[in-house]
Amino acid sequence: MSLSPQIRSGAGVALAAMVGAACALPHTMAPRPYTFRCPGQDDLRAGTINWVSPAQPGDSAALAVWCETVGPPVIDSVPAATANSPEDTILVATWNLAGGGGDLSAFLAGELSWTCQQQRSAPGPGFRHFVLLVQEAFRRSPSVPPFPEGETVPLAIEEEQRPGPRRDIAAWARHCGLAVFYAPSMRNGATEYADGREDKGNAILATVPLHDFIAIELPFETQRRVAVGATVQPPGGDSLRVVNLHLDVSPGLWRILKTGNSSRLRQALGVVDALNAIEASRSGVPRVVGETCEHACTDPGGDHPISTVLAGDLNTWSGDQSVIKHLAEWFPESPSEDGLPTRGEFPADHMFFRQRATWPMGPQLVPESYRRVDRQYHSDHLARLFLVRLR
Amino acid sequence: MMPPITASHHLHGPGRAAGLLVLALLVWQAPARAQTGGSSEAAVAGTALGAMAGATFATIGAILPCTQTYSGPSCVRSAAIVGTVVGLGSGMAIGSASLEEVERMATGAAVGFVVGGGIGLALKQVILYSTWGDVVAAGVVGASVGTSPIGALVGLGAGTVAGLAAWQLFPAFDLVNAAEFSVAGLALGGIASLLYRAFDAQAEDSAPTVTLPIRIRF
Repeated sequence: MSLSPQIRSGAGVALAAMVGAACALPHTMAPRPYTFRCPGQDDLRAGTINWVSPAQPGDSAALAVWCETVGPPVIDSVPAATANSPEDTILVATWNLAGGGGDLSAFLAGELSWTCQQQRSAPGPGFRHFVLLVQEAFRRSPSVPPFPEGETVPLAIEEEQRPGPRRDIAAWARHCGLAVFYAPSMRNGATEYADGREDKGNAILATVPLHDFIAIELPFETQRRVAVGATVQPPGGDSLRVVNLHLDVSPGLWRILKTGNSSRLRQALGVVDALNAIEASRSGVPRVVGETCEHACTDPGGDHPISTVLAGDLNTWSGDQSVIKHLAEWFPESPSEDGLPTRGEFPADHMFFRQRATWPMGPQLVPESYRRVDRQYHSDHLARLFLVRLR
Repeated sequence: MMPPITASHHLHGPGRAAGLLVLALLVWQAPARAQTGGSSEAAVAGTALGAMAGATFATIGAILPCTQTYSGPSCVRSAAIVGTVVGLGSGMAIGSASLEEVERMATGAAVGFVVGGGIGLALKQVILYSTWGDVVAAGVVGASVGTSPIGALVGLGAGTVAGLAAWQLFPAFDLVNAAEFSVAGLALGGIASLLYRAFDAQAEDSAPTVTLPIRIRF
């Protein structure tokens, strides 16, 4: 008995789908020294920035194409005015700036008591120094290479019209007298301006000096993403590492089906892995090249040589997502998840904390200080912040 | 520059999927005996179609709820394995009992593949970073719905109504949960339809037999 053509074709499609799914399942990622021909190589050679990238060949190839379109990182590690008085507490905030949409000056004045014109803190806020982790910051510069719009040059961020000047992140830092570390992830449109082109990415702004710069290229899912990290040590206080990340929104249907929608989890665990690997390498226990771990190799509850804040826009649509649960495990002293929306109806932005476990104990989170800022300041996101006690 | 450091994640184990593939290929090779109204090749085709539909339904139904658990992708993978096994068994039972039913499934899958692929193709024009893989994936989802269109659409409708009602009634139940209900309804309806037809086919054909290609040497 022979089969009809539709049965044969149906069975063929079914088997092809199963073969495709079976072939596409494995995923591994591995941070490694930065080896691509991308802007920022000079910083790598000079040892200014600790670059970490995935070692998966597919990730590397995609990231290499994307990074050719952006300019070099921006570093101005010392703020205009540095207080020398000992500090007990530092405020850490995270905010998606939405390109030039967010009114940074108003945000700093309204939420962090910082007046950009005077470049100093208003009296009485309970803290004198802050670190602000900014996502979707943009930079305009002739150093951003010309590229036509296309897959690796995404459209510019849609910005809300607002009063006041539209400054890029370097200009904001100068205007407000803040230290800055910015590493672009991708282009902000292909438009040619008289004074250059624009890229966008994550930045750290601070009223205290920044050092020990880290740039982590996330495992490639849809767009190139670079998490940035730096260490702050206010006068009289203990060191605190701050890491700013922005995860992809959503991959395509094919990738969702074949990975079980693990894109954001994979990217977040890549950052955790990179941080753990950096810590391990500095404690004299480097990873074995090619080592494979089911999860990041270090024990989540293990000793970490420096207290770390990890925060940013995770693009999560509920407060229960796997990526939040995993990061909370890796950052066990994190504040409780409140599930409050920060982008429309979605709780997209989150903050995590882990304390140095060795004596003397490192900086401590002030859990009751964790809150959502209830004004958008012309961004499409609400910010989050908490206080960290340094001594 | 820091010394070479390497660490890695292994979020997905290929072993289970490969095992399923081997199982599917074994079934493909199986010289199943012709049944009343069916044939060995119809059983194989039914098995493949059922496995695809079961795996796809279970995967899309599990993604939203599983993404809200610690296990995340592992949870989706487990659901996909269960769905594949259920679909595989159902498809085998249907195919071994009724050639006509397998032809209906195959025709539905072909139509569904074209419709789903067409939707995927249209979306590719407007969604940034949409790839040909996404078009094929949409086609596979369409093909799966096509194998059990009535069950899937009834499930989708029931899930959507239940989700919207819960959204209106319970403040803690948000739109994402409502979407979960819709997709889960589609998936459960599709799988339930496969199971129902398998039992129905077996009831009509009371003594189905499938011979697996196992040879024991002494």
